[in-house]
Amino acid sequence: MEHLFTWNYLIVIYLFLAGLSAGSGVISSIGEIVNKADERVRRIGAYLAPFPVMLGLACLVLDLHRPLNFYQVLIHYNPTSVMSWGAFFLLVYPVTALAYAGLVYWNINGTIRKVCTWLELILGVAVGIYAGLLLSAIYANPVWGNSIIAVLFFVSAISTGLCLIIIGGKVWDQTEDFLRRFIPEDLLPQRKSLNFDNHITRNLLTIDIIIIVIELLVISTLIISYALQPTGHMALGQAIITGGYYLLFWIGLVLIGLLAPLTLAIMELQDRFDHSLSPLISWAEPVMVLFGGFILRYVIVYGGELVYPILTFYQ
Amino acid sequence: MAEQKKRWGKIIDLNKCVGCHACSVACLAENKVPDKVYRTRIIENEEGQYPNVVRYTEKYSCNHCQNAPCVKACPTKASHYTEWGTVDVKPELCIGCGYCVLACPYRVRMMSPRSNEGLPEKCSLCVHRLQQGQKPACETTCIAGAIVTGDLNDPSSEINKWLGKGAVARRPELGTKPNVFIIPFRR
Repeated sequence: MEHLFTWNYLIVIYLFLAGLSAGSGVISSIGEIVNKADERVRRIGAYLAPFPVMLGLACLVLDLHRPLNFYQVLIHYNPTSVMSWGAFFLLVYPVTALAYAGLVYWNINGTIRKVCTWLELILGVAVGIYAGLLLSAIYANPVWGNSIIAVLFFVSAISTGLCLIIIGGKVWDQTEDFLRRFIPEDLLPQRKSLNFDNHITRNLLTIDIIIIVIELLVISTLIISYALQPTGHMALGQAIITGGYYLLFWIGLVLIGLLAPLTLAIMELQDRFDHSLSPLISWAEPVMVLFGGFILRYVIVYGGELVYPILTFYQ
Repeated sequence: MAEQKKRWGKIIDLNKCVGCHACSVACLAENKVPDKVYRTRIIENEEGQYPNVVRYTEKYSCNHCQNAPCVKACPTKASHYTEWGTVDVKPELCIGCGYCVLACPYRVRMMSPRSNEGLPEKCSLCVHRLQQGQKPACETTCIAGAIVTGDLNDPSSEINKWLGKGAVARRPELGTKPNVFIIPFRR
């Protein structure tokens, strides 16, 4: 299997984690720039942005066949290589995100905060687009050689980033409540609780509905685009729609990752559920979206390699 | 007088190829290619509709493009054009990301295992033999004389005589300008 698939699950995890970081960073910095978003969303987005991409970078280095040579990618650049651009973005994005998170945590304002916010936005968009562009630059691959992949991965990054913020906010509050049950008040620093209540979750669910609808539109466009391409029948027939990873695509991505959370979020906003179920829904919806975001990258990466076999490979 | 720039290429005559796999094996021995990895292989093609069907064999390996997608994709410029006009990999720069393997539209590169060198394995046109004035291993071992290599920029070379016999590049629509050509199989 090592020979059949040049890139494996580590790359899928890396693309997913880079998307998470880009999404939460972009949401947090846009919120700060337009100054409309809730303070709690901005904070938790800023805190979460640096860490998934760092874990993703570790996966990326583990996937290299010559990991000890990793530093070469940081000192040699090739302007025609998408990966070379990505290496630059992935070098500076975690640093920027860490700096931004620090500025937000200690409430430091001024020019440096503004510069950092804009850098976070620009680099976040760059990392989010790059994850898909890395694949769509392989133009000879029937599945990957489609620029809509870059848009799809970016939209998915925003969607999963938003859900990471919902989960992060809840975990933050519950951890703090849990700690305060055991540790005396005077031993802990001043209460930093985010009060990630039902109201803010509902607002985020509203935004998520819009992004999921956009994602469904982009996926439809991608499928139509495959149908119009000369090699697209391979992508559709043997990789994602009727063969290959079609079960993961239809059940994992479309059903569990997009339609189910969309339905849950709409029904929750219409108050169709019993009030006691609200906390459960606001956990289930983001978890489903995160699962769908992972499956999306899995299907695209593995599907692309499945229909693009190596000719100098026996068996 | 400055030496003329070399553009080393290869022509494979599919009408002469008998599909014995000797080139593939000679390449493994010459280049000490790791287990389960090949730099060149023979593929069996079938053409036509019953009852007018033909089978013929075709040698696949790196096409040494002059406009190579792998060289463009390499993040560290480890994949590069050599002074012989061929495409090769600098091991000291290669991080083993596999991007060149995926970028190659001809699918003639593959990663060697991590337990080995972890380099992308590909035909080097036996540049180490060319430097000693020898021919590549596949050409010297071919029992049918189906392979010829030479300098495409040298009008007097044997390869330029073969070019006139109807040699074509593989998938010219990709715009990769290969230095390796085939003389297509005629029924």
